[in-house]
Amino acid sequence: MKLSGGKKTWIILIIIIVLLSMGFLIWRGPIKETNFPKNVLSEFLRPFQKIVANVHHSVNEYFTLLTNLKEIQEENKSLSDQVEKLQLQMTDYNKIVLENNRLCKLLAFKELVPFKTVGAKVIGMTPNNWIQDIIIDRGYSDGIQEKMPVITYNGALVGQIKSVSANTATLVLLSEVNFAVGGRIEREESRAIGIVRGLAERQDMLLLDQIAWDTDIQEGDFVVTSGLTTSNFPMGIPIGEVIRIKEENFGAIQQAEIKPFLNLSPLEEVLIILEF
Amino acid sequence: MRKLIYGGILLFAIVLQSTFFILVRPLGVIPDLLMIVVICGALLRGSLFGIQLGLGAGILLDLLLGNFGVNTLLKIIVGYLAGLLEGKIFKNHIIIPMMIVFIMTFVHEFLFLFLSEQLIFSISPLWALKAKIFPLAITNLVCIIPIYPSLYLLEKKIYYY
Repeated sequence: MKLSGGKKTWIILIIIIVLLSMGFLIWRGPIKETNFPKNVLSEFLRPFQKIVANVHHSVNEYFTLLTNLKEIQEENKSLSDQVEKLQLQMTDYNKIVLENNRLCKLLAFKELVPFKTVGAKVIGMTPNNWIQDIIIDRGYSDGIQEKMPVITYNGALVGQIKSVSANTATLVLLSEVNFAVGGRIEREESRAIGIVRGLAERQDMLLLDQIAWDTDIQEGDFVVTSGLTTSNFPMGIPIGEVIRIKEENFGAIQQAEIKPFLNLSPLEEVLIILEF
Repeated sequence: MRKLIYGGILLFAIVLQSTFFILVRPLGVIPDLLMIVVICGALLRGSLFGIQLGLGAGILLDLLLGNFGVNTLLKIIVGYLAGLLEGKIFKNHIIIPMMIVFIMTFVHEFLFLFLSEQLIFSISPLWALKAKIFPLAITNLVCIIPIYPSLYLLEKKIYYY
């Protein structure tokens, strides 16, 4: 069978690409990525993702308003009552803050430095059925870098920045199978440590793995980041609550199922920790 | 001209796949529009064109997902396999392309799991089949219904001009 020149070139090119693809699959070392084509594609997709995300949020809000009108009226009334009560409490609180500041100065306490964060809007997800990463509207032009930790506005752990382009970034969720972070039981008497990782088959559950067999761990314990395994996460970020404890490897280690504090369904905004 | 048009179609497919279908998720999965376009193109134009289309679609997806290699390889394989049937089927009937996309979804997804070590050791094959692959095959089968005739008509128009 004789092949034309054009076809030959294509076949050679495809063989090279297949070999390169297989090489990337086998390669274990660091790969220096060229960000230019990824940036172009991310920038191309960003406006579409933003439009769809905005339309989705608006439609969602509108339907919530329509379907829950009576509930909203009742909630509004109870919130107004609460505001009045809280205003009274605020005056007491201000007094206590002033007193606390004065006492801290007297005792020369070190001031608690909060994390330096930047807020971002969730504009989409990667189109993958097995591992879903979240796309946010901040990139390296906003100071975002790979491996930075991401939290919700309530402070619960969301995940970690996976890749960054000029104006967008992709983050891997803590509920995904390719995510792992050092975890610690928050209870003072326990302080057990392990590795928190996602479960491929359950998005609403995490696993605290590799806990020592003799560690004191109970259902209802809160799990926070340990800050031990890597320097990428500060210690003390809330992860979830222990739901079930089981023994593994014939009792050599324990595993705990954790219900994460992170609620994925209304995840619209996140905070990226720039410095800690 | 043809390659330019198909390039535009692939871009449109990836925009739709990563915006609209992420929110809608028929049967809880995101249809693989890129794979459907690759299969349709391959069935209409043969293996070489299927491979070229698979290469373009795979690179686009790999750039977006950040795991270079896997999708390019899989889309090339799918394009090649589907292209082998060119000339052996009636191009103006949609039933065979529907069956092919249904079967190819199983091939594509099992190969993806096989090549992804993080998933292969943490997912039971039965769960993967029930929760992901079968619903995806059904969704892809439905999605090919408007795509294949459109590309068939497009091919006829390109040939005419």
